[in-house]
Amino acid sequence: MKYPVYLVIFLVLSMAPPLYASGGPSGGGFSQQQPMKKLTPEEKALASYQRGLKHRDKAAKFEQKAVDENDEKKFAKLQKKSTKEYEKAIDDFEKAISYYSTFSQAHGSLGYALRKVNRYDESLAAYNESLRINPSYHEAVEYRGEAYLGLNRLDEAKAAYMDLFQSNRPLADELMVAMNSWVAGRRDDASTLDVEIVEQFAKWVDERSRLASYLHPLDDSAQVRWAASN
Amino acid sequence: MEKVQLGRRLFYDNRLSVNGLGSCSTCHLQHLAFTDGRPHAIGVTGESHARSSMSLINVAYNSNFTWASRRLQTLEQQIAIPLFNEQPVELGMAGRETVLVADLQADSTYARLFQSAFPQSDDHVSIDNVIKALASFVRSIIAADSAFDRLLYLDDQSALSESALRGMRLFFSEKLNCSACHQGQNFAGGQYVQGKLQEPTEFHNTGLYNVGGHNRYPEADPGLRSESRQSDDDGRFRAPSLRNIAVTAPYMHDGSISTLSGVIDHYAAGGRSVDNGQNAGIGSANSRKSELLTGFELSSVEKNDLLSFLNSLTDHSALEEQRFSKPEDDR
Repeated sequence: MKYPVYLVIFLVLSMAPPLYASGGPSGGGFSQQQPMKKLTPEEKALASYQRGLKHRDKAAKFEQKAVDENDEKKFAKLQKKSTKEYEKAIDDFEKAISYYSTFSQAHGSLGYALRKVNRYDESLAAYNESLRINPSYHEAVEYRGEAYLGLNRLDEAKAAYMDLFQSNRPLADELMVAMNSWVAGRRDDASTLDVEIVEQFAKWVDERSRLASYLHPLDDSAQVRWAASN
Repeated sequence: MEKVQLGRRLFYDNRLSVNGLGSCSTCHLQHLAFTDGRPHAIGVTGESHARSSMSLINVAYNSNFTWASRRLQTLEQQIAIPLFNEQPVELGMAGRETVLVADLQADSTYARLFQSAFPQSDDHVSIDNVIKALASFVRSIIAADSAFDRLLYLDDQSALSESALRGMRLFFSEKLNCSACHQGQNFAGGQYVQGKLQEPTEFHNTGLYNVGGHNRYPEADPGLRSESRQSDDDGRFRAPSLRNIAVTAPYMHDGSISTLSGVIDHYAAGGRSVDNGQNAGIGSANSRKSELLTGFELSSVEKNDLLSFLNSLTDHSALEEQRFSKPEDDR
């Protein structure tokens, strides 16, 4: 029998707080006095998912430290640590999905972690699955748009933007920030893509930014949110 | 859905007028984007309204209603005015409430529709429910399939002509600054988007009048001043939606400019001069005129471009869409 995720979250967090307050089963949350409770697949999925989130957050911290690091060796070391944490997160998210296959957030988070280690094709597959399960999970549309950018699949990135422009303007603005960043990056390093293609896309990005601002000003916080998630 | 269906029928029903000679649809004609083509609306007894009928398309997003009111913040409040207003009489139903309710109750189609739309009400047919149903129908009149929408929402690069694209840039330029007042998805003042007040509810004196050089609009309609009693509000009106503007002539709150070209000339000049008659005066010199109206210069090509863009805001499908028209079985 499958339970809605929100119900699992409620039950787990409200009925068994010591389990997660102490970091989950691997964190030694069970005391010898407590009777061992057999976890349902949904609870196991949630526990794995939460461990994955912790690894993901840890990875992001290393990543941020790397950005702030001027020493090349230290930078490389921090990048390596970050990648390692993302890989651990991937393992946990995959484990969560193995327990609970329709856990859309887990698929979405898996897509994110895979994207961070440049496994774009797998990342796209994870986002697609997340959206198949929950089509209104707009965040996954944005994440997927960024994955398309990573794969230079520009028409699909544009389609993701247009989808968000109608359904979730703040996320559309966030993807637009990513698009501008992509353009800047490709202009700096045009070796992977035809200059003309980059400039055509840059023109589209400019025009769409202008059109969006006509409707109402671009969301200033989009830059901050995008930077935080990248 | 049931409320919308009921409201649609009521919207076109002449029983909602004192003499059976008109309905909401008399002053809100679908093919004119629910305006009536007149400078001033005419009530069912022949009385002239001081103002021009406003379009009903996309008014669901409005934060306030009519040409100049801060108080009217819901469609339900607004709809009571044409129904019961006595100065001037519009539909003239004041004092006829009981008769109207009895008429509708006696009609088996209405009895069924009211029951289905308001199953929880003790009295299914009531004036309150008439107003609620009308408001529901009017809220359903949403149109967003103009050429501009196809560019904006569908990324259709061929939706706008080159001229309209140039006009769009002019419209949003600092030089013309049209979008300072005609903002957001409806190109209007005061509107909600996804539950948030997106554009401020502001009222503007556009320098149409300066009667006798006294910085006043005609007493017949001093705009927001008639509600607030504040002299600073003299001549201030809300910026109406520009959606479907090409089919909603004549323009301005009193229909005093007959063409869109004339409207552009008015704004280019930073106001209007009325040479003769009781309203004579130099509107552009009205001290209460909005600071946003500074005037601008446009070449004839630029003016045509701007007109092309304004024409691109018409959703032609909404002007004939069946779900907004008089119900088939009521014709």
